[in-house]
Amino acid sequence: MSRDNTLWFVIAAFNEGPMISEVVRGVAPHAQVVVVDDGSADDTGDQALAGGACVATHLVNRGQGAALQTGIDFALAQGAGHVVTFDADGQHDVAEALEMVARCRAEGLDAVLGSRFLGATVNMPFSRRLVIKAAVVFTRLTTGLNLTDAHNGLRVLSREAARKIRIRQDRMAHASEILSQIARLRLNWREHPVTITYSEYSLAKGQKISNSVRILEDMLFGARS
Amino acid sequence: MIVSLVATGLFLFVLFVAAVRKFTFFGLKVSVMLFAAAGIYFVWNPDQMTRLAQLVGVGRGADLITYATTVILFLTVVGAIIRERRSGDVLTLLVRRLAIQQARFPEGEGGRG
Repeated sequence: MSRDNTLWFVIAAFNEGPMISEVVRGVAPHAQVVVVDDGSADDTGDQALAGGACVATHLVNRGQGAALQTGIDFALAQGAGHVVTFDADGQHDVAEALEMVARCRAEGLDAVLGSRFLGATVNMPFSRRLVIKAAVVFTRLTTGLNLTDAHNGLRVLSREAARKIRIRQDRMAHASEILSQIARLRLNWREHPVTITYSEYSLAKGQKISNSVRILEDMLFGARS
Repeated sequence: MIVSLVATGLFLFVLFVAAVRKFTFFGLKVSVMLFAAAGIYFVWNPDQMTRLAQLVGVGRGADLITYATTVILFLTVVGAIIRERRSGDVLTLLVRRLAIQQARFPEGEGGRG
């Protein structure tokens, strides 16, 4: 399969040295990849470069939201037609992401959002399921979007949608912010079933329940205008 | 007596700083100066603080000071968080700009620059 050079995967990575190269190598045959090394203390950037990704390096850690926006800006500057936000820890399936891109193009959508609750989860802890379900209810109430999942890092955005959405929440609250902007901008979106695999590695790296308190704090104090 | 003198010195310092420092809005400058002036007055007239406390429905002057201090501390912390976030936002913009300018490309790919 030849690589689609108008398709860009944006991967925010912080201390993902052990995994990032493998993740990039899974994507690179199919699409362009930019890894935003968010001030990692390890060799994340070098590993991503060796895997075949472009690497934009945050000199200091600014959070996943900030890193994704950097990656999206970079991809747009390189002429991206579609942008996929993809996790660095190997939770996402490249084939499913490509399905989402195909759907986005075929149906002329602005955004396709991955949903683990339409699809499947592997080894998902009960506590995390509970927190995400609560986030879904919160997102439905605050945005009016009839979603089945929230805080799923696998998304496809058309160039126009990627250009319109501006992530101002530097940290984890960006996931809610993206959804609220999709609602506010009245973008044409669909959810797509995806499988999220919770490996020992991703569980150690991923969001903790205590992060939900931080997300609420971020949303309370708001983002820059 | 020593405590009163120290407290007076601190309030005078606040009064001086508020008088010479620029504030983002004038109302805040006036509020801080009034607060410091009131502080000096009440240090030397504690009975008046108790009367004021009773006037607003709080039993003792000391209680009123505790409540007022709590509120002021809370507002100060919120203000500090907001300022810290604004600084963080500027830092993010700088970091982002540098990251894109200095992006590295895999071998054989130059990018659009």
